[in-house]
Amino acid sequence: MSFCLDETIIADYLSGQLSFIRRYQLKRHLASCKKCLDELLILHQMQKAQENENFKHTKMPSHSVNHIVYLINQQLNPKYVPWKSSKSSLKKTFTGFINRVKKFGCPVNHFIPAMQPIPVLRGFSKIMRTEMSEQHIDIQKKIDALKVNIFFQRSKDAQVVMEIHVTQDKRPAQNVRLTCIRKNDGLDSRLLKDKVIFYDCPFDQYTMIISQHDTERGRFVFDINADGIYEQENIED
Amino acid sequence: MKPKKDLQKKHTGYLDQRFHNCIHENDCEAFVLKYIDFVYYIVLKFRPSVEEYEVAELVHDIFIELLKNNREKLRKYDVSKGLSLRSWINMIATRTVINALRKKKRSPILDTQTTEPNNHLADELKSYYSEGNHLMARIETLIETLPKRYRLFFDLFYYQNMELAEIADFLKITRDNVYSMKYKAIKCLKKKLSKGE
Repeated sequence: MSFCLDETIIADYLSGQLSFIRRYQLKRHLASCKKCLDELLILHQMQKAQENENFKHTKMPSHSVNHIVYLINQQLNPKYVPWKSSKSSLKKTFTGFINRVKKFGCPVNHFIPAMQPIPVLRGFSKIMRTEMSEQHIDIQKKIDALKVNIFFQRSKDAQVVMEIHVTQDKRPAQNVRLTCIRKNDGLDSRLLKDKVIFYDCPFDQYTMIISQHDTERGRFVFDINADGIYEQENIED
Repeated sequence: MKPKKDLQKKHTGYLDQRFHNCIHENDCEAFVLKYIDFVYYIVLKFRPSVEEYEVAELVHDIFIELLKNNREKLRKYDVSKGLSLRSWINMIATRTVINALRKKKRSPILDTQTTEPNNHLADELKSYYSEGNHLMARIETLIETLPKRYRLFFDLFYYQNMELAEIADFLKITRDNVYSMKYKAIKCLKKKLSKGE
């Protein structure tokens, strides 16, 4: 449920800093919107109560305080993905590839002769085929039937290349649009064919929206910085 | 003469270290511990409509609302607007409680609120309308047809049972203006009542 009035307008109104015209508009709105009037009246009364009553005598039971602080820490501390984690994830991918080859009954040493270049892994771009280092992070997500793989690589100082693969039933998903919104800048939106690459993304907070058939299927919010990637937990209503 | 630093503090307000750490250092535990009793007090004010078992859950939800999306709501707080941080938290908390109650289809009532309409209005208008029993119902219908500013006045004066001084404080106008508004609003209502007869 959303409110008609933005909190900054209410704050200005309560502190008496709303301009005459905005105040006039607000009053006209209050005359016709019972919900807003009730809300503003309660806020007004709460402000008065805060000023007049001594709320310092009210203490929350300590066991509840501890529990709430614990819950808040659990929910707000984002998952930490250090840059070095990529090493193990890529190693896993490579081991998986080797295992798949083994399944064919072909000895690995015979399959990859000595002095040959590293095999090109299907579905990996040039970026991911570069030597394994601590500069990669591979995040895998699942939204209903869609599997989303996001590869991050540090390209320059304080910049990252993001490569996104979205698959459905082990094939590239159809009619998928990826929208990458940078918090302090703009957005970039691309249709997915095989993969989508966003080049030279500076360290910042990003929101990646995955939509299919013009309907949003899911979104991830993450901070990229020098330490790694902090993914925000979904705590929206 | 006051030192410059104090004057600056007066104008920009004083934000404590806990708030700063929460915003910039991602360390919100001290902030939560400082304001948890205050938030608890706010939720308790809604006790007529909030059940006892819901109190802790609401306190938790209020902090999540304040701190979610990279502490978006806290970052919106602007000390130069003249509202204290505690008042800002009060506003966010109150809105969160109202929202939660509305979602559960319950009306938010404060422990100090009265819901009975003001009967003085009926007394003032009795001489203009003979059918005393139906007077209040008739008034309520007519109020809906009044201009918006009078409707707002009657909402506060009649339905919310507020004193004129309280109305002036709420609408951020002078008491003289409220008296004038009352006079004009009642005159307008009387006119409509006599026309209806």
